Amino acid sequence: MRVYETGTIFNPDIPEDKIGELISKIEGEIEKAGGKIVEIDQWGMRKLAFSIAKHPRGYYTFFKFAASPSAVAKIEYMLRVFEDVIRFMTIKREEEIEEKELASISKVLKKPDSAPEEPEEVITGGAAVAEDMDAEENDRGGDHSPDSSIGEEQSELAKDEENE
Amino acid sequence: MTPNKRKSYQRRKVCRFCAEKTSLDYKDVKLLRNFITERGKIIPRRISGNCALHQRALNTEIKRARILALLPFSVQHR
Repeated sequence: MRVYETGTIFNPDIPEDKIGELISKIEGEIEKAGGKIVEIDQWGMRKLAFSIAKHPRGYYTFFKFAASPSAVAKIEYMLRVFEDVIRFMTIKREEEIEEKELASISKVLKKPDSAPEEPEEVITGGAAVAEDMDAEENDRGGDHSPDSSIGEEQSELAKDEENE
Repeated sequence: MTPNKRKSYQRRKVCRFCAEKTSLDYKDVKLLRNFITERGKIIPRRISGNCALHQRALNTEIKRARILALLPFSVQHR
């Protein structure tokens, strides 16, 4: 058995009572395929970084479960059939998990917070560098303020570009 | 002095993840945002200062986050 995690995004237009229904339906399908649910993490409605199928938002739910590799194919096939699941992705969390260990894990259910997490409007890239190479090239004239680390990184970058 | 500006300052060249032992996860959008540019590009290792191991791990997690629309593939500017 391996531990997998499937992230799903639901259609934001479906009514709230249907969401619970859909989650338990997916849960049932995972169990039917031979998986054991470890955790269901509901993030709730969230703004998408880009629109999927013309939806700007989506309802995020993460299913963590233990299953055999062949079960994953079944689960993914099933998710493809559900029209209200607009995006999903399964990743491997743990390579190997003992049956005994698994039995001791009880299902964890996480409800969405009252205030759903929204990505910040302005992206604050820790180092907003490498962005406009031309711009850097232009202001690389000389008077760099050596105390700004961003400036340093930029001049470093510009130099690297030159060297290549 | 030497014309090579590179020697005129000290740069932190320590991988953040080696130093802090933080684990990487595609769901940790706040953390991953630090390693992409405003346009959504992944910041190269020579700038972020990450070690090869962690940069590779970061790369994977950013790409996973993109699939689930947690991070942008690209950001359009007018």
